[in-house]
Formats: sequence, structure tokens, C-alpha cells
Amino acid sequence: MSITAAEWWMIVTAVLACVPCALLGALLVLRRMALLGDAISHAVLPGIVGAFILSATRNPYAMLAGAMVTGLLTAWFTSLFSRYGRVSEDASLGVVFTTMFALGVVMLRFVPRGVDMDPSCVLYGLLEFTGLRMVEPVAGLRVPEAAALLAPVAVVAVLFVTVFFRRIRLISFDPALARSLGISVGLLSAALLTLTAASVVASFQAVGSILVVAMLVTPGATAQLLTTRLWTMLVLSCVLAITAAVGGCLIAIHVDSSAAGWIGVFSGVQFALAAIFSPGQGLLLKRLRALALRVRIEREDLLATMYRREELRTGQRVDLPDTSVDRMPKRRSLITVLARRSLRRGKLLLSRGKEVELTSAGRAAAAELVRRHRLWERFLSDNLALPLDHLHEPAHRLEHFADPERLAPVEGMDVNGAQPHVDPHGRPIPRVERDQPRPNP
Amino acid sequence: MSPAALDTNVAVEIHDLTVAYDRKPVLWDVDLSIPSGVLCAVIGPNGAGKSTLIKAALGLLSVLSGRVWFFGEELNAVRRRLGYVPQRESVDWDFPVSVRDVVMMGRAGVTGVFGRSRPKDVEVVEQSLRQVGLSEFGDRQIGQLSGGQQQRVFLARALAQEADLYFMDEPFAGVDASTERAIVDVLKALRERGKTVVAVHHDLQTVPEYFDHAVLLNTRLIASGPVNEVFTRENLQRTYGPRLTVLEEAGEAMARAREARPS
Repeated sequence: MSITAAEWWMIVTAVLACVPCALLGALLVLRRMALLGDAISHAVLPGIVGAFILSATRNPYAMLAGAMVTGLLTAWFTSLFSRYGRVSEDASLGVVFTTMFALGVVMLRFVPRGVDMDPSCVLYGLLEFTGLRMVEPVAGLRVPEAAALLAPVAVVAVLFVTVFFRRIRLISFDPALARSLGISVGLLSAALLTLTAASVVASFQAVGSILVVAMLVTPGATAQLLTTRLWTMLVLSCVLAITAAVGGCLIAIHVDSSAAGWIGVFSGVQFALAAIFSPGQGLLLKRLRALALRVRIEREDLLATMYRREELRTGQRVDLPDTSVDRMPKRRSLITVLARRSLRRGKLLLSRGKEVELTSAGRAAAAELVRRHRLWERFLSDNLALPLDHLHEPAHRLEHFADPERLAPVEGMDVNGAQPHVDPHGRPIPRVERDQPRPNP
Repeated sequence: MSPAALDTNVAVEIHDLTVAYDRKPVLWDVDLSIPSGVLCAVIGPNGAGKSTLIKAALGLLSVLSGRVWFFGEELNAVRRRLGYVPQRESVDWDFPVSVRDVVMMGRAGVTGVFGRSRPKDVEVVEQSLRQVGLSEFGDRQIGQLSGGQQQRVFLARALAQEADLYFMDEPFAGVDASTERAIVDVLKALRERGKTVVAVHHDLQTVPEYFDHAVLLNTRLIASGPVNEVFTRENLQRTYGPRLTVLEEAGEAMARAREARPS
């Protein structure tokens, strides 16, 4: 696949549009203001149309100025209404930007004839045509108009966030502390907001409002899933935006369809992958961890059940109604299969024909578990005065997670005295040799 | 200007402070003076304006009327000498910062606009972490801590401010027993070094044990002064109204206070 010069410029422009949006958007995501970007990107329409009507040309700088004005007005009106108008912030945001957008649509009627203005460009942008409108900002350097507009915005955004990183982090995390230290939260917020509006306005001509919104929210949200440090999150957010821009453009060139569309899709896929595979917060790892826990509990239940059966068989205890004895699962599920397999592997369980038996290591591990269970029953009965038929269930849950002997000093439990030799049902509490390393069931 | 306003031994001097949200007054004509070097509890029922008092004093809220002096000076002249511990719920604990980062924020008042930390700042931060027993947790993301540990992070951040006067908004809210002890130890250490602490406090039982000065507030100032003078059944009744449980609690606390300070 060979890439033409025009296509290279498209990729460069896309990257220049995506990076400042992703960087400033990540900060919006953290400050729970993600939708403000959405609002600004829509509210710029009346500004652009107004600049159009007044200047009667497609002067990009006039449009930029007009869009900045209405974009910032949106942010300002929103905070004004939510502060004084007894309207929640999201509702006032919704009211302001839809009204502004609608105003822009109405104003389109007054655009001078002969100037073409296609509302669909507002949505999808003109990324494919960036190579067609070249300007020469510096002698000898011909770059697309969109890139010439975006490059300074991108540079200023990155520099600003880098230089004022600590201040930005402070006012985003705890504005009250910042104010109490005499730091002007309003000034820095306003500067960030202005930069965000500038990025939105500058990018939106090139890539359209949908992609602008995507870039403001998605890379930041994805990065947030992947790290617990703000600096890493911001860098990641930019890296994700760059890869989405390049990847999306390449796909679009290859299949000959909307570049803005593909960048948005690419970014969404990045988010989905992070949501599933993220090491800290990914769904997959959470599921695997939950599965591992269920297998462990099943293993422990199997061992304890085997132990209780042996007790009955060898007559160490009289049979009392105990629901736990026949908890041997009849059905084979993934969990039971995994649990049995790991018990056999760990040489805790032996299969002899159709029967399964505990090995001596298995018996020791099981004794430990049953000991925990019965100590818990003892504790619950003695200290919380639970009736006999209420003991099994809580003890059965506790035995997997909490070792009563470690808690004994805290809870004032007597685990080795005369009392806990039997559980409240009269069953013996197994003794475990303590000088050996504890079997890990 | 009241004469006490010029006294540098008065940590906080509040004159005629009135604050209203919409038209509902939250603080009404509060006159107050807290000497320096005391641990002062601000107590009163829910909605009595306790947090508002602190926020208004620190200039975080707009006030209808009133003036505040710290050590005889206006707020802007003494900001460096003031530390603030907001309520724990006031921030997003999922925010991607480490414990050490948050404590370093306490240095923001002295590290300047770019926030470059000097060796001294790093040292102060480490020392503050040690003082609240969180040295090992410096690199953790703040969301991975328990509620009590989070409260201690805030306390460490305030310590890193190296202030002379600390305002704490419910430092004991929802903390475990060991954190409560750790906070009390820090408060006492601060007092020994001549610092002043003004803390919103909810647990009447522990007022005489932890604090030596008290401000009783219910929109209006009910009483303010040394605990053994103002923490009386009558004042508490005026603050909380005749609510039985509260009075029982207070009665018990007063009995313990008498045991602790035989007159």
C-alpha cells in the first residue's frame, strides 16, 4: 500500500487534531466534565455561522474567533445557570448547548448566497480534503490550511499542560485546598477551558464534531483504565489518540471510507480492549480472579466434606444432622472439575476406581479447614450467642476467608484451652500440629 | 476593628460573621475568639454551620458580613501560616494520584507556580507521612487505602503545609480506632509545638478528652471558651435542644471530664 503526499498530510492533520483534544479531554474526564467538550463542539456552530455572515468569506481565523466566543459563552452560561438558576449542571449544560446549536441552524438561513456551507461537514469534517487547501505560513513550507491552524494549538496545549502539570493536578483533585492556599483556581480553570475550546474549534473543522467529542472523552477514559498516575494517564491518552489517528487513517485509505469515522471506531475499540484486558480494572482479570476464588472455595469444601465423611465412617463422631456432610456435588461443573483436578495435582486427593480418598497431606489440610469451621462455630455460639441452627452458614462462609486463630488475640478467643475441644454441636475440633509448616489447602 | 484583632496571641478572631445560602442564614452574627496554642473543637448539631464557619473563615465562601483575623492579620497576609483539612468526601478518591503526590500538594503554597519540589519539600513530605504512619504507603494510589488511611493522608498533607493554625473539617469522621488514636497523637504533638487546631467534631463523648477549647454553635454562637467552662449541660442543651440521647452522652462525658481534671 503506497501512501500519497495528500494522504500523509491527512494523517498528520488527524494527529494534530486528536492530540490536544485527547490531552485536554483527559483532564475533563477526570474533573467529571466530559460532556462539556460535547457541548462546546456543538455550541461553536452559531459562532462559525455568525463569522461567516459578518465576513462573508471562509476566512478560517474569523471562524475560529467566532467559534471560540460561542464555545466559551457556553461554558460560562452553564456555570452561571447551575450556580444561580437552581438547575443541575448537566441539565443546564444540555439546555445551553442545544439552544446554541439550534441557533446556529436557524442562522444558516442568513448565510450569504454563493458561500457554500454544508451542515454535514460539521459532523464528519473534511479530513479527506485537507491536502487540497494548502497555505504557506513560512516561505518554502507548504502545509494544509487545517494543519497550519492545528499545529500551534497542539503545541500550546502540550506545553501548557506540561509546564503547569502540578498546578493542574492540584486544582483538579482538590480545588478547595488550592483556594485555601491562595492559588487562583478560576484563572487556571479558565485557561484550560479556553485551550479546550481552541482545540475543539480548531480540530472540528478538520475532523468534524463527532470525532472531536470522541477524542475528548475516549482516549482519556481508556487511559484512566490503564494507570493510576495522572502523568502516565495524560501521556497514554496522547499515545492512544496518535495510534487511533494513524490507524484510523490507514484503514480509511485502505478501504476508501471516512477517516474521521475510522479514527472514532479505532478509539472505541481501544477502549473496549482496555475495559476487557486492563490489568487493574479489566473485566477479564476480574472474572478470572472470581473464578479462581470459586475454585478455591470448592476445593476447600470438597476437602472438608471428605474429612467429615471419614469421621463418620471411622466413628470418630456420631452422626448429627449436618447439612454440610453431603455437599459432595452431584453435577460436574467447570468449577468442580477444576477443583478436583487441582486437588489431585497437589496430591491431596487420590482416585481409586470410582472412589476418591484423602491423602495424608489432604487429611491435614482438611483437618485445618474443619478446625477453622468448628472454631468459628464455637466463637459464634459463645460470643454472639447465635442459636445452634444458625451457626453452620456463617461459619461456612468465614472459614474460607478468616483464620480464627489469627484473630484469636483480637477477639479474645480461647483456641487452645479446654473449652474449644468440641464445637457447639459436640463434634471434636481437630488438633493440628503447629511445628510443621501449615498446609495450604 | 476590635482591639483583640490586633493581638497576635489570638489565633482566630471572628467579628460579626453572617453567611447565608440563598436566603437561609447558616451563620448569624458570630463573634468568636480562639487563643493560640489550643486544640479547639467546633461542635453543634447537623446544619449548625460548623463547616461553614471554617470555610468562611478561610475565604472559601462568600459571606454576607463579617471580618476575620488570624494572629491579628488579614487572611491574605497569613495564608502560609494556615493549614486546611477538608472533609474526606470532598474529593474524588479514584483520582489517579499517589499518596505522596497528595501530601506534596500541601507544599503547593511554597513551591511556586511550576510546583518544582526542592529537597526540603521532599523531606517535609516524608516526615509528614512518617508522623501519620503512612511511610510504606507513599506510592499507593489513594483509592487503594482504607477510609481511616485516607483521612491520615489529608492530615499528612496538612502537616506538610507546616502551618501555625490548622482548620480540620471532621477529621474523625468514619475512621477506625487506630486512626483515631493516630490523629489524636498528631493533634497533641501539634499543640506541644505551640500550634493551634480548630476541628469540627461530632463525638461529644471525646470532647473533654481530646480538646481543651470548644466552640458551641447552632447558627448563632452559643458559647466559646475552655472546655471545662463552656462544655456544660446547660450550654449543650441550648446547642442541641432537649434531645435525650445527646444529653446522656454529654452527661457521661462531663462525668469523665471531672475524673480527668479534678478541680
